Amino acid sequence: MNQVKNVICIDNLTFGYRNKQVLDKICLDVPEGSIFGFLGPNGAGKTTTIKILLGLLKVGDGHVSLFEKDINTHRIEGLKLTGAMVEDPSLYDHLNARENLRINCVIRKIDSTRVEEVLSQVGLTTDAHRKVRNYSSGMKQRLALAQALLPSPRLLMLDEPINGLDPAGIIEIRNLLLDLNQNHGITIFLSSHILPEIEKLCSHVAVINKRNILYQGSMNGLLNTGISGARLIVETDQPVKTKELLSRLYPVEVSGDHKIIVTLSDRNEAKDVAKRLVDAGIGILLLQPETHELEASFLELLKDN
Amino acid sequence: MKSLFITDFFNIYRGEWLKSRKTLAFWMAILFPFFCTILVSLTFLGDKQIPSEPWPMYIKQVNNVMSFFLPFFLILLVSFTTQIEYKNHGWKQLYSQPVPRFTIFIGKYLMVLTLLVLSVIFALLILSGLAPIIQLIRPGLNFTGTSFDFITFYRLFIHTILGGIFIMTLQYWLCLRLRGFMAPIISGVFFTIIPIAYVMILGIAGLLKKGKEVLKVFEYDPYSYPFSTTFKFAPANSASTPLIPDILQLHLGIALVILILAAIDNHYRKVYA
Repeated sequence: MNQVKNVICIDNLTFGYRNKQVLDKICLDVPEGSIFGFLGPNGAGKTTTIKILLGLLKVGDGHVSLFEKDINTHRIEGLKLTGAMVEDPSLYDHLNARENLRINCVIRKIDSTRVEEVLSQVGLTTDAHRKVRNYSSGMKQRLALAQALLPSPRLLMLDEPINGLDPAGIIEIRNLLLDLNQNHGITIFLSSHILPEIEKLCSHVAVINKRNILYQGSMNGLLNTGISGARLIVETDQPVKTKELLSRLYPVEVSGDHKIIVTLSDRNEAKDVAKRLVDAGIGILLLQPETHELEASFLELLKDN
Repeated sequence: MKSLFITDFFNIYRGEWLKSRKTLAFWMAILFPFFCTILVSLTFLGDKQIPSEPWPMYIKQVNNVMSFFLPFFLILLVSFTTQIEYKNHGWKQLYSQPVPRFTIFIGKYLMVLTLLVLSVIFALLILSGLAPIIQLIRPGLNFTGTSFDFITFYRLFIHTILGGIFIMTLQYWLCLRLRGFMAPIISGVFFTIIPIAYVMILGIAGLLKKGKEVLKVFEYDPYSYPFSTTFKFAPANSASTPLIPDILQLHLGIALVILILAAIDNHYRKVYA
């Protein structure tokens, strides 16, 4: 059996609607087994990218592959392993949840026993007999997720999957996605505006803005290194002496709780900071890299670009 | 590969059938023949003449009324069938399924055709059921004593179905291209009333003097072609009346070209909603 390294591979993709260019030579690799967050402001090109991946929009210039198969020539093979939910849920509101899922079973040649399994996974079993027009937006969102899960996919592509969910619903869906990823090995590619959720869920992340990918890599990479260099939080038993010593060598600022924040040009300089403090006889209470909140990193990234 | 395509097509068609139930399009397919048959039955009750062979006349009159309303019925039927997808954001779900785009296109097209055929089957059932009731009210009409005229029914209604194919095909393409509900309907109604307006103008100007000339205008325009049946009074089962006249063959040929162009257009279509 072939080991797939990247389930999604986008290489130099350019796309536009009439006179408006939406994507400009973007490159994106989504590793198998990851939960990949796709972030960007409104109109950045997230949904367009997902639609191209699903074959809804034809690839302009560039190369796009799903499971190492070109989407232009092997669209069907790639989509067979994919479950998707794009923007507003695609549900027939004159039918109930079971009937909606059965239509998908028929089209995709899926055993109808999966209907009850996925309904139970998203917590809709008791409401499955009700017409979708009577569902709340959160319930519709869950049903759309059930629809995406129906073919037991190896890749889930979810566009704003937690929109419209209440806090309990968000936690349930988060746990479900984590379970699908960790226990069933499903790769999840999701876009969302809810950054704290992305932070809790995703192992990898890409940030898109104004037609370009600004960052792509691990979530820790984005949080820890930030974009403007590494920052080190230092707390010692002699704060005044520490500030005097370090300010001669690095840009230093003091936080509200008397911790000293040292800006380093390279993360390896943390070793030198520790050595100098020890040599000066200063007792180190805390020495840790400053982690950015995703929101801060995201905003900083957009600001810089 | 070929069998996979057929399986995909069959599954798409089954899916279309499942989602069509309980829709306005489905109810229209039932109510349209019901409405037409009731209308004819009421006039039959009030008619002073009592035909010795009531079946051919009854069938022809039902067919006439259905043919008269057929363009409007088809315009609405196609719009309701495609509008389900726009309204429920279904296109993106459909087109992201791992099946060839052509199967989705043709599956939905054949679903509309199925609803048209269903309405004819319902017409058969309803008129067969209503005839004995008419006889109960007007015992002079001998429906039960004479046999149902299948040849007349078959010839007339096959002609009606085929006469509707062009309208169905062009409306289908319009509905795939135009997202709004009203735009394809307005276009269809416009195409339907153009020849009526044309005939009226020529009539007022005194350029149309014979009924045959009026009929010709209606025959050449595919949208009003079904009307032309209404104006023909030759026996439907007459050997002199071909089942598929030349002009209908031409309309069907053009409809096939439109269907192929629409399929190609659909293949490259960008799915936004």
